[in-house]
Amino acid sequence: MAGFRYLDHTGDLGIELSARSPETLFERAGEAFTEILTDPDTVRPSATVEIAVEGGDLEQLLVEWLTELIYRFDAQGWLFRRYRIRSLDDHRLDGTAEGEPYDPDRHTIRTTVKGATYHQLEVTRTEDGWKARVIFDL
Amino acid sequence: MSGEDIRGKNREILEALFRKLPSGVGSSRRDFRLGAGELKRVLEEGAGWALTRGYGTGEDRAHMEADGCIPGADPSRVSDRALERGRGQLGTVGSGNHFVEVGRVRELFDREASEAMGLEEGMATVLIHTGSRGLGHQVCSDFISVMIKAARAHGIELPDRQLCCAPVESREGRDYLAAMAGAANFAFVNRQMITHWTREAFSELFGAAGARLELVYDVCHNIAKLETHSVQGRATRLCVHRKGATRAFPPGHREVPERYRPVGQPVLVPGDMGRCSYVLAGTQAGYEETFGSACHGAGRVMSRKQAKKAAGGRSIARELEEKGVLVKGASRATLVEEISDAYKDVNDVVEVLHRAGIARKVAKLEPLVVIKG
Repeated sequence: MAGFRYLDHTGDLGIELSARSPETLFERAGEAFTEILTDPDTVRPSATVEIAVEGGDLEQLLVEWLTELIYRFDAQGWLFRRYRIRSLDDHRLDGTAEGEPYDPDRHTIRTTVKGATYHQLEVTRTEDGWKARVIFDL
Repeated sequence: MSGEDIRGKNREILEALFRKLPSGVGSSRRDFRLGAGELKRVLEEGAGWALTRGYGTGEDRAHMEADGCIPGADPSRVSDRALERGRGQLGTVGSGNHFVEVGRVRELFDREASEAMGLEEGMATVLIHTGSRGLGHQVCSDFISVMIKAARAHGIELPDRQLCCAPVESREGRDYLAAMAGAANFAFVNRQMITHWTREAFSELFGAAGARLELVYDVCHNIAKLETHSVQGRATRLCVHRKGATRAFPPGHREVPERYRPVGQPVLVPGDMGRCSYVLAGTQAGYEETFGSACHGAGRVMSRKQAKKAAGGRSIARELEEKGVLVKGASRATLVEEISDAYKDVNDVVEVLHRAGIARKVAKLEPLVVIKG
C-alpha cells in the first residue's frame, strides 16, 4: 500500500509513513494500523465514529491518535477501514473513522498491538511534504 | 499426574483449554465480565479477591510473589479506559509471546530444591505466561502522557521521550506506582483465573487428580517494586524496576514462601514453544549482584518480519507435532512469529544464569501441549 513501509525491529514493529499533508499523514498512520491488525478489505465501513485527541505537539498527537485506535479495538472491538482528519494543529486533532465491530467469523486478526510508543518517534517536514516514524509495542 | 497422562489425551487437552481460555486478539470472555465496582476490588485485593470468590486457595496465595497482592494499589489512579479494556479480559491469555504450556518435567538438577518445589521427573506441569493485558497497556499509555509533562516540569532531559519519568516521591511517581500496583493485582487475578479454568479442564479430563494441580509459584514480570537492598553496606529502600526480568530471591529471605526458604525462590524461565522451559532457584550471589533478579525468557533474535521470512510456507504446527508438541494459536501469524528460530536458545541463556551464579538450575520442562494467543 502506498505511503508506508514496515521497519525491521526485533521485539516490536515500526512503520515509516510519508504524505503531502499532515492530515493525510495521520490518515495513513490509521490505515497502516488497520493493515497491521487485519485485512482492510474485510472491514465494512458500516458506521462512523468521531475521534478527538490532544497533545503538546504533532508527534505526541500521532501517538495519542494511534493510542485511541488501539483502545477502540481492544476495549470496544472497533475495526476501521477509512479515516478522515478534519482538523489538525500542534495541539489537537479532530477526525472520523469508518468501520465496524470485529466479527470473528469474517475478520482474521493478524497481529495485536499493545501500544504506540515514543521510541524513535518522528514527524517532520520533507521537500515533498511530510514523513513520520512510529514504533508499536507488540 | 504424569507426562504420559498428558500425552494420552493431548488433543482433548488442547481443545479443552482452547475452549476455556480465550486467547489472542481483542479476546475477552462473554461468560465473565465484571462490573466496574467488582473490577476495582480486583485491583485493590489481587489474589485475595479470587480467594474469596472461590477461584483459588490459601495455598495458591502463599505461593505467589507478594502473596498475590502488591500493596498500595489505588483504582482511582486507573483510568476508565483502562478499566474498560480490562473488564472482559480476566481469564484471557493474550497474544504475542503469551501462552499456556502443558508439559512434563524432563530433567532434575537439584534434588533438595526439586523436592521442596514438589517437582518429580516425568511429572505433568502447566506453565502460564500472561500479565495485566489491555488494562496494563492502557495504564502505561495514560501515564506516558503524564510523565512527559512531569519530566519537563522536573527539568529531566530525555534522549528519547519513551524514557519519560518522574521522581518516585513526586505526585506523578506515587500516582503511577498506585496504578501499576492495581495492574499487577489484575495480572495476579488473571493468572489465578486461568489456573482455575485449567484445573476445571483437567478435572473434566482426568478426574480428581486433574483438579489437584498445585501452584509451584506465581512471579511478576515487567514491574517496579519497592524493596530494601544493601547499597554500599547500608540497607537502602530502592525502587527496583524489572523489565524482561523477574524477582529471584535467595534462600533465607522472609519473602520466600516457607516451603522454599531453605532453597530459594522459584525462578521461571520459559523458552520458545518448540524447545523447553526451566525452573531455577534464587541465590545469595544473585541477590547481591542483581538486586535479586533474573531474566524472564530467552529473548528474540529475529524481528517478526524476519521470522515470517524464515518460516516461509512451513507448517509450524505440523513441524511441532512431529516433535511431539501440539500447538494451537489464534492465528497462523502468531505461530509463525513465535518460531524457535526467532528466539535465543533458552538452554544457553539458562546456562549463563547458572554459571554466573545468579540462579541455580532446578528442573527442565518440556512442552507437550501449547495454547498461544
